[in-house]
Amino acid sequence: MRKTLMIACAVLASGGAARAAAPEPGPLAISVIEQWLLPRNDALAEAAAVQRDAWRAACADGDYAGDLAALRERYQAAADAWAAVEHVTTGPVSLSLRPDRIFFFPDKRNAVAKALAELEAKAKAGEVPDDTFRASSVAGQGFPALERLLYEPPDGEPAARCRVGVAIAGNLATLTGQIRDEWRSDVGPLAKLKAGQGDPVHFADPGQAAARLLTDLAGGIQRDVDMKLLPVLGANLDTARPKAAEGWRSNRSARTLKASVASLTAMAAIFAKAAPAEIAASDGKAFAAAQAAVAKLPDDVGEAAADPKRRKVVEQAVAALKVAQANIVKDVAPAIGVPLGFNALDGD
Amino acid sequence: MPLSRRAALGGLGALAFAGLGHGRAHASPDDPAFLSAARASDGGYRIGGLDGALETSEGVAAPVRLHALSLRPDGAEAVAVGRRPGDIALVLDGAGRARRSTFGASPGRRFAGHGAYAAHGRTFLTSEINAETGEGWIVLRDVAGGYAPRAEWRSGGIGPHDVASLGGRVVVANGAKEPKTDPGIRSLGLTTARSNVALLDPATGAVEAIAETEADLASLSLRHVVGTPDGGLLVAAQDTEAGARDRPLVARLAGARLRWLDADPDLLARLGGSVCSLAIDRSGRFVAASGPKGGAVVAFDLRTNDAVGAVAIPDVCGLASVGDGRFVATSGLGEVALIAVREDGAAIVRRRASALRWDNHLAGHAA
Repeated sequence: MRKTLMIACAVLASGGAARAAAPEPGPLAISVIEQWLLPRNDALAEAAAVQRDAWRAACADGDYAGDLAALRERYQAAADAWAAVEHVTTGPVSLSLRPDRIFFFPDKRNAVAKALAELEAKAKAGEVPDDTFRASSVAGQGFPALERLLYEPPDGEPAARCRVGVAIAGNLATLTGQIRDEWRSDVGPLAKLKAGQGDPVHFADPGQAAARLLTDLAGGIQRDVDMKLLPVLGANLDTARPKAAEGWRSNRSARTLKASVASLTAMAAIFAKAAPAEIAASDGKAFAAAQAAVAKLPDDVGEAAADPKRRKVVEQAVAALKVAQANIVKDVAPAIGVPLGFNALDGD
Repeated sequence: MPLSRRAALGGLGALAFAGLGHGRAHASPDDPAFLSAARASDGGYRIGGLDGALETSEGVAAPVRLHALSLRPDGAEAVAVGRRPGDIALVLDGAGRARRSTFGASPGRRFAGHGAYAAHGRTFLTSEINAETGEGWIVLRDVAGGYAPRAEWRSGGIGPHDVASLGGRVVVANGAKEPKTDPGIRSLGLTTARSNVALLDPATGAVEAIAETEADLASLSLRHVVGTPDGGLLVAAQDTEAGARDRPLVARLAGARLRWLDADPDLLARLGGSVCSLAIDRSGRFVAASGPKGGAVVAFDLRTNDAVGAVAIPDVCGLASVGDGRFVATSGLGEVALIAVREDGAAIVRRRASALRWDNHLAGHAA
């Protein structure tokens, strides 16, 4: 593989005088992981731990009603931290259904409400044992379930709701802590990469690591468009679906996109740095424009999509994100000699 | 539940790797066991081969992006159909190393990327779409006569994708929907027709049965079919609703009805709302479904009709059986993975990186 990549580099290098030699994929993947991913994993685990402690403290008296404002603040901070890394499919996050357990979305069959009701029923008798919690539906294990406890009118026994909230916040702290620690482990994927090796679970060789991370970047933009904006917009004004917006209960529909795109921009910048200057510059412009378009989204993205006067702002965010994605796929990826997947993006 | 599955993986991972056999009488031992469309490191389109030890070899270069390959039953010839909407198909030697000829889609129609040998390799079937109306056709081509059209039948629906000759019938997945944006077939983006699987009489083309998606699954596009060793049929769907990933995607055909494998929603969601390929293992008990959008292969047990496990392989599509409870999977990132499946879990037991990036389907003789 290394030999093949060197040949690929040679082909690229001979393709034109302006084209610099492609970077080695191993060091490039390490840069992305160390400079971009690890700090965000740390921030997420920290925010989730703070949130867990806040729930434990709030529920010491068996009712969190008096601490709602503080818990909501913790929730918003932790959800922002997740939005920064939610598009990553590479590495420890890919194990044990972690992404779904952390943030089950979209929820078309009302799975979150059902799972939460089941948990609350179990919690009436007392603490929900860890094993019971982990074996319950993933839809009730993460942020969307916690959001309902915090932002929907209280319904049911305060003590049972407290136990469920503590269990969910604890689960989020555990999962995000595991992701953080497994990346940093002496025998983890980053250590393998630094030794120039592949990892039996996560990537076959360093070239794969760079390719997977770049595909995560392109897929992350696609995810924002396909999962957070297009379902809300519908085919036209009449079929707009405000309630398809992520996080409308907690007023996070625009905030989560802003956090996501800011993080994608930072990730793109590391890849672009390995490309020739003019490609890096156009990448910077495309992502700055995407950030500016997303910054204009009103808090009620869903309602805006169904409002003839405001719908255009949502459409413009989609358009700007697509330009940024095309920049990665068409310009950055070929310039740095990192292959992107296509089966997921192209359809059949 | 996720934990017991995880616990099962340790046991699976320890299973010894069994070498892959060649199923073909006429093929030389050096020939690849599997063929696929691929992209080389220079970005060019090419045929790729995989041998029994999962070693990759580069086949002949292709002038256009291809989709699915079909191996003639004697192993001496193969056809690669252009990716939808495509206009040419390549006739290759059985090893995918030489191009023998090309043939085109019928006038006014586009290829859907799939074809199938029938009548012991004497006939080749292509699924074709009228670009204006989306109407589907199955064109019968004479293999000995340079793949010239000999007859054509209605496919029994709109926008056919996969076609197969299975259990004495011609089986067509009429996708009806346009699951991609650029450059799809416009008429398929406009129709409200439901997707179906049609069974056609192999002698006359008469429609014997049509199994259509139900009203609550109307956003599904049925796109790929496989046959079980006991004569059953399975079909895989893609959900055309953006972001949807909670509808069932794999069904068993029961007469004119679809019986969905309504598996554990947590595992089903791993497919990301879209199945790219299906494969059934040699025993006929396990079926693997690849989901490139979810970056996973999900394995189902046909005895219980439930999913038994999932493995993460980003951008996966190609799948083929390599034995009892064994599958090989290929990805657009160039990964080749050997997957072991049991009634209590699925695990990757071997993975390799290749210089070729695998483009959609993997063709081989059933192992």
